[in-house]
Amino acid sequence: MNHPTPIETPPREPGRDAAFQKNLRASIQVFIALLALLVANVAVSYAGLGRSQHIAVALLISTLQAVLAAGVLMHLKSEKRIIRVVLVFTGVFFAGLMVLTMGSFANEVTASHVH
Amino acid sequence: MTVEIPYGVQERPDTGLWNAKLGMWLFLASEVMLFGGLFASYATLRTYAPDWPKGSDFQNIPLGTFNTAVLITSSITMVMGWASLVMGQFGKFRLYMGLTLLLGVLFLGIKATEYRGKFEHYGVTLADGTVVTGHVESQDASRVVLLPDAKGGAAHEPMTLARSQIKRMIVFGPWYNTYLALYFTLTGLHALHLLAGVLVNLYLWGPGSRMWQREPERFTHRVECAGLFWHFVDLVWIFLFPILYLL
Repeated sequence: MNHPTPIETPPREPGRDAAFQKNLRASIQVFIALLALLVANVAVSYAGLGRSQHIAVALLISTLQAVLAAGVLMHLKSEKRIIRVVLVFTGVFFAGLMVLTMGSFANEVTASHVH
Repeated sequence: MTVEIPYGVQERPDTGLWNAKLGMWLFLASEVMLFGGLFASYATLRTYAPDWPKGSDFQNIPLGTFNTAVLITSSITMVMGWASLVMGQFGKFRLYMGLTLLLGVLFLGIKATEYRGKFEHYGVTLADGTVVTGHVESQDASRVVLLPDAKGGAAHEPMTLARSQIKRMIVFGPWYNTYLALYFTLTGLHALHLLAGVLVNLYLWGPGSRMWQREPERFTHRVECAGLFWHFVDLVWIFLFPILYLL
């Protein structure tokens, strides 16, 4: 296969270049943070917490990882407004799905309901 | 006559986005709902289960942790690949994208090893009602040699069981229990997504990269979209790992 020849970098504004380099450094920091949080999540699983506490802590750590990955690696923190709006709607529907699911736990059909 | 679709490369003035990026985010939003439904199923089935095993009863935690680190690392190599293109360094792009591909294949390979391990693992119910789990070392028409799972530092010697002693013997497939059904469904769907990502990345690393010569900006956009999908697949695993391995 022929390898394409590298072309010249298009001219970029100096301020934009600096911002790009800053974002790149942030991505590497996030990568290290994601690995550290992974280790933390595994360590918590051996810490002997109660089951509900463990679920809460593990999901909290995972959510933090997700926020970092989406915010920095997927550039969501500097993304255009329309994408954020789409994701807010998605979040609302996702939250609704989970609330309905959890709500069903409080509405169990017991023997006294069955005639 | 050729008609060029507008805003393939340039940003639309009203949204500030080029087409593919908006399309990719809308697709990812639909993916959130797809996995959301499965997470809701997990929550329901787990809540109503009379008892729920610990992930470590079925999984190798160090291997799962390593595999998660592999996927996280592939996310940063993906970012570096895209950044290399933005900086006009095609050679570096090929290096980082190649690494991303290797890490993706490594993740799938480890996952395949885990799956194979499950299909060599059995839950054996003996005639007296005792349940023993472990790897089957060998078996024939009259007997089964089982290497039981070590529990609490107990002796880990092979057991020879006569067929007449065995009431039931089920492999650790999706039909074994609800936990494994969810494990195979969730990780299987995730692996399919990862496989799709590997195929797209392979195309962009190989034949698709010719576009760099003709339309470097459009090619950079394609890599960015592939990266968004790759990070999303990574993000899904960030939740799957604790719920299936640690909790």
